[in-house]
Amino acid sequence: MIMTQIHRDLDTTLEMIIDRQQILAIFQGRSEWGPRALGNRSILFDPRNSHAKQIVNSVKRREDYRPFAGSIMLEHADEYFEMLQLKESPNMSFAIQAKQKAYDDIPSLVHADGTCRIQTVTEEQNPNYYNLIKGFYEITGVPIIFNTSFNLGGEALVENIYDAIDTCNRSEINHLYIPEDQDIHIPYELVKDKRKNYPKAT
Amino acid sequence: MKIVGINTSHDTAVCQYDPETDTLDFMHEEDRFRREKYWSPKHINTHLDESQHHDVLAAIYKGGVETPDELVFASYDRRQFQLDFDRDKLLEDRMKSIEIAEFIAEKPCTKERIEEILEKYSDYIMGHGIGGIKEEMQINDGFCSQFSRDGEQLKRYYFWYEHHLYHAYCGYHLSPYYQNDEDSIAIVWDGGGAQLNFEEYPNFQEIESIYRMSKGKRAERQWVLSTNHRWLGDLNAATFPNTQTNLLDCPDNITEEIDGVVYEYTSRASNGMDFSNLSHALGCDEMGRAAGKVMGMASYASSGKEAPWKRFNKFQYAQDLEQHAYEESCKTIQKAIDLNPDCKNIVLSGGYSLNCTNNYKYLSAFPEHQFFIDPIPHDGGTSYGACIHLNHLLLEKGIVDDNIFEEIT
Repeated sequence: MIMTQIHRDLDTTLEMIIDRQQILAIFQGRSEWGPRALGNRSILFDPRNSHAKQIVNSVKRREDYRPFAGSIMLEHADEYFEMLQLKESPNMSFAIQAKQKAYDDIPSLVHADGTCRIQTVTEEQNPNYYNLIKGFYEITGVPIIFNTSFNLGGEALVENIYDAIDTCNRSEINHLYIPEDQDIHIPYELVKDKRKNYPKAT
Repeated sequence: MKIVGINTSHDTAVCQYDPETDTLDFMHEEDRFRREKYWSPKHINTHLDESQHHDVLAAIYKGGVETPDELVFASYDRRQFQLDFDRDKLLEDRMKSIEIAEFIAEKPCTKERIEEILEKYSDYIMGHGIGGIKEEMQINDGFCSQFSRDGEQLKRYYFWYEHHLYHAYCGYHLSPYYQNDEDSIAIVWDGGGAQLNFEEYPNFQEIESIYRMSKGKRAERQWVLSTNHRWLGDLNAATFPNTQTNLLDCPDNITEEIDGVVYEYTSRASNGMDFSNLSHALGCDEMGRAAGKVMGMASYASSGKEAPWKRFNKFQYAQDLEQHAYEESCKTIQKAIDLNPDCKNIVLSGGYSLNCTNNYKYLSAFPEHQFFIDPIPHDGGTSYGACIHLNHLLLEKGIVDDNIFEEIT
């Protein structure tokens, strides 16, 4: 059987992203308003993997030219990007010019024109997400995580836990991180064997 | 007090605003319940269909709304003046259609001018429609009827055709400038917008606007750009079904000033509409809703050193449009700065503000200014802007009448 694993602790989550190079979705808190996933309904991956774009576009069933975004600890933003007069970019609204360090460390996130759509994150804005990126940084030395919206091609962002599990069931997203401080009922019984190719829930 | 705002046009959304704490309690977007990306035109042409109605109500109930103290609706203007072209006749006599287009383009289409056109070319064109407000009110009435207070159905709600104003309020309220009690310029640009001067210019749609925003005050409208691009496009489509562009544009922009606000009228497409049209032409989406894909493609264009024939590809088209849109939008930003030389803060809202590549370029082009991009620049954000607008009016005028529909100016 191939079933999505649901993780509640950060260490296992980081192990999946870093050591096992797995695509992992995060689900926590209230959903973001607007088109950008900012760490509450996101699909995450290791940005150091030079094939990340092809891998995740394939899993999300999107066109191969579609770019991806990254979430960076705010205090490191200037090391990787030409921030100009921006003090922060918390809503992923700018495709920012990458510096050489970005080309070296996170090649999958640097778009064809040398820019990267970046979300700066602080602990105050999103503690769980910030700590995940910080944990990634402490192990790899890279303060950025690959971030794309938690949905498949042509679908809206997942709204609730049922949508999240349904999306995992129908895709190769095999790991779902729900931080342990999230007091929600998780319907484990809805996690299905992917090989049975379940249709989209209605 | 709680104010609920509902945007009933595409990007349908519901939100609740608490004026006492100045906080957004919740919002929900209808597509999250429908589970399909993008709005569908079938939902907005006439009435909301049953499933969308259901999804909006699901959003309301999920937010825990029982009875709002005030209810306000947002949408873009449906008061379209429809023109019916006799396609068979135009296809038989295409020179006539060029003559009609030239006649239309000669002057701005005021109400009188439209009557003149209809009289002169009555064999080819028929017009009907000013009165779409009835349709709008039916939708609003339907939603309003879902709420009750003290056992009685809620009777009062508010509704204005102020699409761009709502974008401006939404962006400013979510910006650091508002948090820091600073003024800001708000620039709104999107695909169609509302029709502000409907009585005088029934076929022009607002595509760009500039506002001055100050905390605790109503927004000050400063400049409006409207276009009749779509209307000329309809005529073109009737005559040459397989083409995308207009036969011709108005020769010059027309400008007039009303109550200190400058109104410009043009025939060019909005930046947002250009991206939508190209997304359709390139096969990204059959209804032209994938502007974001075109923006993504633009990055893959060649350096321009290749042979000319190698530049004919979708990536180059996308980048050419990206560059064109950048140049046009810089003119608007400069206009906003000229109108507000004392203000260094700029908020961008409206769907075109989702263009992250050009958003970044503005930083270099205007290094003395700070930019904030509305995080909800698409039409869903207008539900929040409508709440803010209503609150300003309630504070100023203390509206209490239990009317079914309050029109306040």
